[in-house]
Amino acid sequence: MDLEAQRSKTLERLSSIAQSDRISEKAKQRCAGIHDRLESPVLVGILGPDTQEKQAVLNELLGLTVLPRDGPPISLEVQAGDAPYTMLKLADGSVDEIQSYPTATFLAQGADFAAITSPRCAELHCEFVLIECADSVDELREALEWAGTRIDLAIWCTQNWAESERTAWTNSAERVRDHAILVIRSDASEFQDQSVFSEFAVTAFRGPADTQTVGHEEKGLETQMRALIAEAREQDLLSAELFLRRYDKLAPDLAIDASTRPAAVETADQPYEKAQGELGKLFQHVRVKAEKLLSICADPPEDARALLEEFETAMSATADLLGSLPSIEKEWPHLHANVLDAHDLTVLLKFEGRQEHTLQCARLLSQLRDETERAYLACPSVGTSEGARIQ
Amino acid sequence: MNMLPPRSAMTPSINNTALSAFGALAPLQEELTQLVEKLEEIDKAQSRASGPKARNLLENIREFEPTVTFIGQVKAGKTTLVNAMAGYPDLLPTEINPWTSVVTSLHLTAQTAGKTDECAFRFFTNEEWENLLRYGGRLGEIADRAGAASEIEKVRQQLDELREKSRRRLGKRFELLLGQTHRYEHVSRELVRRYVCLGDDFQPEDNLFSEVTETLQNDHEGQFADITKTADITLTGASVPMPLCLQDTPGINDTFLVREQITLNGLRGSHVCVVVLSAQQALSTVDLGLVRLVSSIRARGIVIFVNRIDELSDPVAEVPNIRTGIQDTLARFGGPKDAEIIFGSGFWAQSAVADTYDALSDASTETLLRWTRENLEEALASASPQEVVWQMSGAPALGEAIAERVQAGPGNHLLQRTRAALTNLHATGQVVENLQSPRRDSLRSANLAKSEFASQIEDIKSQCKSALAADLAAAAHSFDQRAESAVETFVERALADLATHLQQHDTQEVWTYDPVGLRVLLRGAYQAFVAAATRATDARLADAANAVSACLSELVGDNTIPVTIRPEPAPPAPAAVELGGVIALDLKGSWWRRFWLKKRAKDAYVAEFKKLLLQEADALAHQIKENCVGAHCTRLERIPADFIDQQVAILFDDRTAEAPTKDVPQRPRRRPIPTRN
Repeated sequence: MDLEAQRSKTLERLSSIAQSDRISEKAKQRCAGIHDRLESPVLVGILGPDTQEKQAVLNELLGLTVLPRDGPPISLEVQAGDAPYTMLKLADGSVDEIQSYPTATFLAQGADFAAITSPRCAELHCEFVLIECADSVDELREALEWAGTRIDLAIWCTQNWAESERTAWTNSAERVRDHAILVIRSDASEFQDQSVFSEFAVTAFRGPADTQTVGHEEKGLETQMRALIAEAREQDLLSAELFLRRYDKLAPDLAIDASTRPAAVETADQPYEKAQGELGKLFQHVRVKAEKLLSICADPPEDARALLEEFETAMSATADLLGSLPSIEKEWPHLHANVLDAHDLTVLLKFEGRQEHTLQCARLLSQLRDETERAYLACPSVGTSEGARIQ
Repeated sequence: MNMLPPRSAMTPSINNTALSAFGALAPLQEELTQLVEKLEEIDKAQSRASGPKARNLLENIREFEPTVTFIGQVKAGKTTLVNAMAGYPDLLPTEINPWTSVVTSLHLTAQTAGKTDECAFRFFTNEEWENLLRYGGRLGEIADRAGAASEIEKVRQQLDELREKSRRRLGKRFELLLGQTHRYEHVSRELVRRYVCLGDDFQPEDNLFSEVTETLQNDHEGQFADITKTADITLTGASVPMPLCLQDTPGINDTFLVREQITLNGLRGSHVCVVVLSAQQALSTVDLGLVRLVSSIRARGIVIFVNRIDELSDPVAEVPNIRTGIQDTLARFGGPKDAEIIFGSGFWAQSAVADTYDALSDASTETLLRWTRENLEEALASASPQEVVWQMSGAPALGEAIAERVQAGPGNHLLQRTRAALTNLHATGQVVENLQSPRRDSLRSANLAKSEFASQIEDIKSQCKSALAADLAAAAHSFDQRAESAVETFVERALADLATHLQQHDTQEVWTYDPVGLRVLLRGAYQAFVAAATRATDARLADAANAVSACLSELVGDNTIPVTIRPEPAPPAPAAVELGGVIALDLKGSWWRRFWLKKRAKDAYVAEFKKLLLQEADALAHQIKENCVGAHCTRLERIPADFIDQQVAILFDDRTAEAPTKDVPQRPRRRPIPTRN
């Protein structure tokens, strides 16, 4: 079943459950939350001190020149709608509007906020908010705080990742930092603070001002963003389905094949929230790696060694991640040991370097994914709105 | 014994500062000098209170001597390069026999230090020599484990011959020399050659087991080389901004694996490792021994120098291929694939240092010209030939790469630690001042507070200590489990591979299995331990600093003057150099072949190999556990308590201020040994 069809079906079922009287008030609220989340588009926040780049990124992501070149710096949101439309909130509190995307002269009226409507948003399944702020810790922090409770995906535009940006960023909510893209307008080799890369899921290097050439990234920014959005939406769907599985006892045809995804178990001894968050991170990581590598395996390259190396890199990254998630060893010692075992075996298989080993690696990775998933799905709070996109 | 007359002090050949390879260390030295000045001021001004701690910090800085270890392929021109980098061409003999080569440390320091040239040569101890001769060193151990009695016999025969040779060279009672150190207050090339000798009996590695020709060329050259373990040479006229130690190791040219341990220990104390490859061999020979040796060191601690590009006919075209070849090999065999690679020629560097170019052959000159045309920068266009050759030799680039790593690693650590200590010194100094100020009501109340303060401090100390001990024990336990499971998985894989091999081939076909995977796994386990231990120590130090700050603030009793103590950075973990040691599976030459062919039945193969592999892998894991994990835990465990003691010592008794933990790599402190003439 295609994901979108699955989504509308899940939405329907959620609505019907919300109206039934077989579930508690609390569960109903949760159900409504999940429904809303599944229905609403992903909100992408475009942040950072580089105004020109932010506006260029917005245009690029929408695939349209929504903002005029050389327009003034301004905070704005782009929402879904049938036709292009712009509303300007002027400094004196009055409002001005046009039935098109803004022009430079329209924006030049000295407004501090613009609300734009674009049909593109529906196609992309996302809406945007661009926050304008000066390059100071306080302003950046304020922007991040505002964004922290609202946005699902952050895109940070920078020229040099200044100390002020680093301070603001590292102090921002985890929710913002979990799904984030960094856009740097300089050359990778000139970039001083290499440690920043580990902070972001994706880093895009772009040439110096005005040249819109894409430097280091393999895929375009839009592709990267779409991947992250798809991932977040898939996560939402997964949690919705889990919720359904728990409460909709009458639902026989779950979109997720029940044989591969064991039912969630409510344990008496509930692992605490932090551990769940860590497990969510691990699951997310393993899932993404498995997806990527297993798809390569479907059409394996001739050089087995290169693929084995990919497996090893992925497993090493997983083992490293595990090292930074201390609760997992305490709460799921088996899983912890199995991740390390799978890592060890993958390393050895890589050095043996035989063609047939790629299959073994693939099996290891998919086993690991399934096991992580089982553990994750068994967590009591998975399926709530908090448990969804953040992890 | 025939001693040479003392020589006048060595004079470096460098008189042109442009040729200093390590000029890039100057900024670090400057920062250290600033700290020294501040500390000296404190030492003078507050001799009673803060003096001892300031003096300790001063000593830490003065003893700071980053160590750069050079390891290399046979004939990679390692020693020529070391000589040139040090600025003393021809100091160390370059034609060394692998059997007699020695770990030689050149301690370079600038003349202003007010020291004199000196050198010390340490011989093997009785036990080390016995271990070598009676058990055949590490090779004997492996043979023993493998149950290869006749192999041991063969090794012993070879060693008996060597012992005979030493006897002839050194006299009948040469064993009495063992354990001694010979020390001189001068340095000369002749002297060095007596201990670090030339290879009168050099044989290509493969033939070392065969008969050796025994002709002594010279009564003195190489006289003591058989039994010399390490040489320490201090040169005071070197062109370096700060003290620096260049360590020349025998590296992998060690047939009986007896010096391997010494090389590995050299690497343990080392801050930067330079792997010297020969340009012509770099592509053709997969030097797994070298990759193995550096397998424990992170890529950022390693610089690869591809030497002897002077022997390439077309360096401009060949260099990119060599670079890719090296990177491929490293990636394939678990080496430091991101290490920086520099191309050059120690020979050119030596010519530049000596400023004589007569020795350059036509071919070499031609190569130099080509390389220069390709790489010459505008700025050098008007430079002297000496400077151009020097630049083209790669020596300055190597020196810069080394300086960069020293600065980023141990240099930065020393700076941060000293700065934090200085701030703390200042903060506690103010507390003392405050307590002694006439504004205090009476001395008595202060004393009362002090006794209470002391017990609070003791509480904090024991809390931090036990908390950290628990954290470290957990980290060490995780390592044990990971290492154990890694060994199991590894042996399982290897045996499965062996079974496949036996199915597919006759037993006449020698089976080999690369143990690199085991090293990678154990390294991973150790790195995970280090990360956890560092996290725990930092956290406990921060706790300690906060608690002490609160206590001190309370002691002062004035809310307007909060006392802030900053945590000082914990020492970095040592590299698990044990990983570089040879294990049975590394042996791929004739020895392994003989061992393999000796077994007959297939079952016997699997059983014997299982035993051998388990023992070898376990031993490796155990060594890391003892020498690295255990030692690091012991070192870290007392850090919070020591740190607290250092902060509060001046408040209790001026004389009890304790020495801060030394940050300097443990080099054998030179014992006061009677100087020889």
